[in-house]
Amino acid sequence: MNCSDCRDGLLLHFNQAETLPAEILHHLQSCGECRHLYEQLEVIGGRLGDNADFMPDGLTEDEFVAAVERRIDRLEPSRVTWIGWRRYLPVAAAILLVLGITLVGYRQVRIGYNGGNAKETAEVYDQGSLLWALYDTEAEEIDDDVFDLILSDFVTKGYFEAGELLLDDLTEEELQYLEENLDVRGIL
Amino acid sequence: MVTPIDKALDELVTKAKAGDKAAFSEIVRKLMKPVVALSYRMTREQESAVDLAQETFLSAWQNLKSFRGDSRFESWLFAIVTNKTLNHLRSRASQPTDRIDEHLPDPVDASDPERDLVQKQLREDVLEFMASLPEQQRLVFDLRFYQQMKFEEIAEFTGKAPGTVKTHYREAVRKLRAFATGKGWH
Repeated sequence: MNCSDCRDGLLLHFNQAETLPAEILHHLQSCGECRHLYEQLEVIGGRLGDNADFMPDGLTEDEFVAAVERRIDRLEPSRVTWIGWRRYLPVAAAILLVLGITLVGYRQVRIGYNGGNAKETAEVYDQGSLLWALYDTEAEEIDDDVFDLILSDFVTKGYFEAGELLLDDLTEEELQYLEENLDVRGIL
Repeated sequence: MVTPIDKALDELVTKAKAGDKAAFSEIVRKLMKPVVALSYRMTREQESAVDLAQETFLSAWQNLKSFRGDSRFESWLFAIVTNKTLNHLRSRASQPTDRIDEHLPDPVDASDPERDLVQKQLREDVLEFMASLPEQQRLVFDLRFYQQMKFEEIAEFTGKAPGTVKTHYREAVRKLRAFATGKGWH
């Protein structure tokens, strides 16, 4: 072994003299310079101290362990009590209030948009349809399912029937007036 | 070779995995020094080192079931504290704050002032040397010198090749020798 390899080995096994390979130990016996480096490193290793020398000032084991235990305890789910729940009551009440206002508002908007009065809405769309049978004439409102059926019926079949009904209802004079005065090309 | 201490620790780990908090507290007591010290030598901040060490044990408790025993428990713990400490150093680097303890006065222990002075000087010298090393060299040096980990173990949890780890260590010791010469240690 040459000196370069020996020094590399000494650096690598710094503070681990017991793990020094036999060939390094053999080289140290015959090389004063490498032996000097080895002794130097031994002194340096002794100056570096150990983990106990790096404990922060004033920190005791008991305090540290207790602090970790407290942090672990905070992770555990606490028992829910009525007193514990009470602090959430104002938040729960506020959420319910907001939800209530939102739902009422949403319902008013949907019904109001289609004529305000449920009975009028149903009459406008299709008096002869199944929807009318679903509609309770005594009620002031229709529920969402019935409303959806009315809308769907109007958009498809009911819409065209409504159009036909409109033309059928015109008198002969009104039709003649339209034929003479309706400027279709102008409208287009 | 399994030493009696390792065996006792293994038993504590087994109990802690079963939910035994007292056993875990005993683990904390046994291993707090190397964990706190590692973080302290890396950060040079006493308060942060203690906090990071506590967080390490907290994470260990929460993730104890994921420890399968493929490596030593201490190595697993050092991996956690290393990650937390490196994250802390990186977040500190991005913030222009100065919390290094060398600027703070140390509490004085009146029981043995001379011994305290020597110990304080030693600590400051070592912390100064550690701070002079690049992050990876500092970590490898600490894990090898102070935590007595094998190069293969260090390579495993730093994700580096064993050869790279050895190069880092050799380089750190070379710098240590130069530092020690400057300080007149020998």
